Amino acid sequence: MARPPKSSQIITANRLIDGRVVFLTQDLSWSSDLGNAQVFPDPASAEGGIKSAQTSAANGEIVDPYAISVSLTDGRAAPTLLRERIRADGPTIEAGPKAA
Amino acid sequence: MYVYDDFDHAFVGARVAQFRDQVARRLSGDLTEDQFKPLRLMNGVYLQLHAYMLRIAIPYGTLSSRQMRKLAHIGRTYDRGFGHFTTRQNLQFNWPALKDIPDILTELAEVEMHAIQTSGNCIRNVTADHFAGAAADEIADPRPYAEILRQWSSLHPEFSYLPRKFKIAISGGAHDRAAIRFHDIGLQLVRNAAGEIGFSVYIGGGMGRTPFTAWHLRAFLPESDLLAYTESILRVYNLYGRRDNKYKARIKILMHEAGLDTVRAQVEEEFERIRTGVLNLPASDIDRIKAFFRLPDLAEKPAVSVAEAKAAAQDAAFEAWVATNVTAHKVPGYASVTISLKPIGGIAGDATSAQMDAVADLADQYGYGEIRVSHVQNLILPHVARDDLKAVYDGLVAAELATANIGLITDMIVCPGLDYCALANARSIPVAQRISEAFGAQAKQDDIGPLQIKISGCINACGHHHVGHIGILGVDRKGEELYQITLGGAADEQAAVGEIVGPGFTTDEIVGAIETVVETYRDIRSGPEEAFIDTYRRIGPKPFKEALYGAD
Repeated sequence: MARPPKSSQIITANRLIDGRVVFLTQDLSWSSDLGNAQVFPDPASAEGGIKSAQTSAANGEIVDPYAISVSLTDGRAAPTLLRERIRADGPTIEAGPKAA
Repeated sequence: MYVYDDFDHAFVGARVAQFRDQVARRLSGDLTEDQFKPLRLMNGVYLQLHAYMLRIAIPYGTLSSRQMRKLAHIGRTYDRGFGHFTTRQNLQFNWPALKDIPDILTELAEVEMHAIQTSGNCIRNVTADHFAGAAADEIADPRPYAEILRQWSSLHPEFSYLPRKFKIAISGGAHDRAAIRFHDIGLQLVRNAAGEIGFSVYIGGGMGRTPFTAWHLRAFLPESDLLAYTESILRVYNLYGRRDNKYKARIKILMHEAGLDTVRAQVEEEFERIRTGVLNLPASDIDRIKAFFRLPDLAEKPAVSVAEAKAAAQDAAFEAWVATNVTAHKVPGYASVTISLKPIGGIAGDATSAQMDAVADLADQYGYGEIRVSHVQNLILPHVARDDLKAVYDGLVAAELATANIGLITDMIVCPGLDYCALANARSIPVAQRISEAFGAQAKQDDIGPLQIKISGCINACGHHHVGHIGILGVDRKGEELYQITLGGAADEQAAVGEIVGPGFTTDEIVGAIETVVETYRDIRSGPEEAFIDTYRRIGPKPFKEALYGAD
């Protein structure tokens, strides 16, 4: 999958206890709101974020952390890949049948 | 249906207790994710895009009303009030929390259900014809044999770490409603010249990135040899199946590389060695299992129902629903009702907890408490008196489950796709919803006639796109969803893998492309009675390609 070089990055994972999507924040905690994610200017600087994320994974807070590319518009981060946008925002369809 | 004995209860109970301990150790940090992942997968727990997913086995697609109510309760209590019925006759919950899964499994065990072997490189849930035991055209009910295979394969120590997953399907007769030619082993019940029941055995069918229709391994296998022969196949596969590349590890690749004659010789050699041993099935054991699947005592009724005819004359929508969703039963005066989980514009295979309860109530009131799940992601009440069809229909209307589209263009198989699945490359559900809306008008669907569209969001083909009369495969092209169309696939006894017609279409183009294919069919069919697949087989892909891409 195409990833533009030097793009801004955030760190994401799934929460261990319930599997929900979370993002690494400035104070090294985890938030389900992408708006709270710490934005790293490039993949190299995101390495530091991955290290603290791996500590969280080892502590059993989260599972499988990884960095994703984001674009910034007015300071707001939006994942570059559709897969990650869907992870951040939830299914693009109603999460339940039509008759629900 | 099958009833757990003390051994089964103890077996499932012990497994739940074991997993409860494993989850506790994972949450307390005693187990790492690397250690825990294979354990959770053995219990049907995946981690998908947004949450964990729990896949619950519905053995050979047979459910009691009590079990359905339990699934409704679990959906309501631990999930978001709905569940998703899959192409392997299973049920998936999309939003359970890991901490709750041991409690969910405890609740399931209360109604003799579990999630064992719904994942991992083992023998998965054995699937069967959804009209089993009711179909007028079956040689015998396939479910007792599926149950025997389930008992034999559950935690089978030799086959718990196969090169790859292994799927078995059984059809009760020649008309294949269980897609047996696309399973690792497909069994078709047959009679030999002496009138004895046995199996015609298929091997190595499959979809995924390398689709194959199955090879025909044996014309007649006596029923007493079912386990010995199946074990022989598994043993050969376990020894010679590739473990160096997960994409080449299914038995279809062994068949492709080693050839039918070689594999058959190896299987037969092993079979001769073990056929008189402990796996030989005595008739008394088969009869004992068959007794669990006895047809309910159906009171004698006239073949034609006056009540049904009267209701149909007064209610055109009911008449249309009977025409599409009601199938002849082997007992005169009865029918099997297919409940569509494909509302127009809805999500294929999804049912709310309220709908599950409604189906359970209708099953109790009119269907002897029996429910089936089809691999086409619909539900079935297998034994309904034709006199009661209108009451069942009215109940389904009230539950928003009365869509009259079985076998028609909007009765699609659709995988969860990129909206849920960690493996997917493109979304399936929104594409299906738009196709459903485009073709949803009843007169339009009826005019198009039988047509199976199947949609997968990646090459793993959970949405069976290879065997759709029209197949749609979502791929990722440089970050954009692109949809490839295949034509001419079929999952029944005329099994075929569809042909790719040409370059893919964007998400904005795909519905129009399907409309072009359907319009082309309507233009060139010999008459309204010629189904899409028959027109395609008669004429081939050329006119469809020209309509989609222009003449060469």
